[in-house]
Amino acid sequence: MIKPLKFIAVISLGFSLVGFCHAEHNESIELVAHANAILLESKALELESIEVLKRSNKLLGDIKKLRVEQRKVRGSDSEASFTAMVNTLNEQRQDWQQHGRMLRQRSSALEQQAMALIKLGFTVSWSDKVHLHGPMKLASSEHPVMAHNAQIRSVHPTMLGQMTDGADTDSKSGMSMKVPALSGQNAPADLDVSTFQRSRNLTFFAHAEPLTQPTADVPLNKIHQWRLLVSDAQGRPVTGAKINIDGHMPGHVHGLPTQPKITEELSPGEYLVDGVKFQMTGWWVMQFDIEHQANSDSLVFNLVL
Amino acid sequence: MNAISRLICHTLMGGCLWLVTTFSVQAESVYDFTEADIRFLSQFHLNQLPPPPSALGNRLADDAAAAELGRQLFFDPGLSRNSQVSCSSCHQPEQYFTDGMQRSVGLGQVRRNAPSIATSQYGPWQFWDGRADSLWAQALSPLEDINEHGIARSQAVQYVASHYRQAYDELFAPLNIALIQTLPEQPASPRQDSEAQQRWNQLSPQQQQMVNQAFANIGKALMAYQRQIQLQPAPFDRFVTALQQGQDRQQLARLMTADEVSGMRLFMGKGNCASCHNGPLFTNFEFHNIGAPEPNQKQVDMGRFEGVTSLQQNEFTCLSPYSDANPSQCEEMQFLKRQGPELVGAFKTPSLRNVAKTAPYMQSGQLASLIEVIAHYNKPTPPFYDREQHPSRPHFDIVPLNLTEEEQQQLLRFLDTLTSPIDASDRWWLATDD
Repeated sequence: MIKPLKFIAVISLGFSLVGFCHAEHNESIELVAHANAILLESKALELESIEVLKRSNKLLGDIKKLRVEQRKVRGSDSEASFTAMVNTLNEQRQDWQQHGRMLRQRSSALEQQAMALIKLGFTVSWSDKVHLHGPMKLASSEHPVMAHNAQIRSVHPTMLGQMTDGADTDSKSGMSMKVPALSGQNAPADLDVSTFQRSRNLTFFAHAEPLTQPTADVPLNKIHQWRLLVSDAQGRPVTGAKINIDGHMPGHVHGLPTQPKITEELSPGEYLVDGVKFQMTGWWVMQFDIEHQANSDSLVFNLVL
Repeated sequence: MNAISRLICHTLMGGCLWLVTTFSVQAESVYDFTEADIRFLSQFHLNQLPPPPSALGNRLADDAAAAELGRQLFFDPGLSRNSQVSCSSCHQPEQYFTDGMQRSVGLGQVRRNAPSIATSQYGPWQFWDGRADSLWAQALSPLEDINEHGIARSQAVQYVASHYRQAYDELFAPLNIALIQTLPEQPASPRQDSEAQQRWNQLSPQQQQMVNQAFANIGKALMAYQRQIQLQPAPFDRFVTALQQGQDRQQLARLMTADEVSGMRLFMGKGNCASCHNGPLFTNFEFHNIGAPEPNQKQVDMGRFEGVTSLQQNEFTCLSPYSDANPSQCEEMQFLKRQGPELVGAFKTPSLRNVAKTAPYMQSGQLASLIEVIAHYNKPTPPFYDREQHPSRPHFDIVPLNLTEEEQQQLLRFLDTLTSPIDASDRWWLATDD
């Protein structure tokens, strides 16, 4: 009795030791696949919340019409029952709204969990390539001056105030001089600046980081390179994809000063992005359009320099 | 004195006292700069200028002998069709390498204003529309332009072979005199009139290659000369140095007047100039459309939009076989931005060093004086848009400033302080050594 058990124990130990070396890579792929499943669920929840809120809003519209009717029947004997009915409907509507809100919150919580898993998965399976874990930052320079600060403003004379206000200036702490201020961007407070992103239809996951030494930060006004790691929804690296790159600054009518390109694929799923240059500080949006076999999708990275 | 006259007297005295204290305090506070202010201003100091960028396309870019040959070529009127036009005809050193004209005149009138080339070695693009990616490529274009020097490349090579052969042979691969002698005497160039083009096409590939290479080398010598041109510190730089040394108000006031310092504060602040005119050379070398009046509405000047097309068709870029660089090293050309609404009507931001001495202003000299320029920025007119000619509505890069008359004058005073004195002994600013 004991001997076969020992035998089994030894064999399984052996297998697990052998499996350990491959486990990390497989685990990380599984992590990404798992994250994908969570994201699909999150998306489903979001769609559901949209349906629920749509229903709730429609009901609100109906309730408003009924309130008008309710005012008409004021003073008559059916008033009490009518009012009770409308109030019940309103409570129902509030419940639905609450439900919709909850679904949405759950959806975004799941999304955050999934993105954390993606980050972990990428960090593990491409451990020697991922050096930047936080958001992209500007290489330190005390007073980076900008290329211009004209936001989109209509030049039509009837647009009130837009062509009569002066330039936007900033008074930084400790300075008696005012300096040109970056304006017109209005980045949301919770802007997603993560360097681990998913594509719009959840076809691809990617990580981007500058390839500058010693720290992976973004220099101003200098052509530099980025590394892009792309995996599919199941966590497998995507090879031989065709990628287009585009960038712009929200609120400013201009793009990147150069046209970055993918110049080579360094290893399966690892692409070298060359020719990236930022001529000003502020909120930039970098969009990567990826085409691989039959799938095409686009990924967006936000960076605030 | 009676009570009323005493009252009047006291009021007047009080008024005078108030005036004196208010205005002297105002005048004094203009010179009060904090540590952070001084650090900010330091980035505009001429000593922050890095050495000229590495010019991989021209291995002789920093060679002294090449610079000397370039200097001789720069001032030599023989390098033109009628032997009267040299580079210095429109880029006169005593006028800070401009010629004071709206649009320069060589053999004919050209389309644009002559830029001051004292700072052109620092930016990645040459010309107002950036249609050359290096100084050596830039030099070749005016040489063949029929309104400028008007000399065909074959003739330029023949001229250099007969007048500068020894200097050329020491720097570049020796000229193939036998092959040069087989060239026609009449101009042969792919860039001039149809007869010249015909003669060019009749040349053998070997002749064409030799002429192109020698022609490119002429440009490289000229580039080596231009990289030696340096600026002396201007009153603004001396002022910033004084601030860094912590000198007192009296000494600062001797270097820049209160109006000039107020103008500097406006330049950095309300005037919004420093958003594009920044760095030690007061330019970020980017292309912007500031709505300068369109000189010819029948044929609009599309600036960078045209420049990008010319750049792609230019046979003398970093990527060409005549450049000394490996094509993989030509970053700006490889990742050239070709599309975008911001390219239409956009021109290169010029350096503001010596701006007070390089009138008239803008790409075709449309604005005659600096006060007109400031007035344009103060109340800008949007760029001229012609649906037939422009591919898209030109983007407009500036906003109105709401400066008062006094503020505009102060800004003008400040711009005067950016003029560097010409060092009479600096040989690179002189045609000859004697």
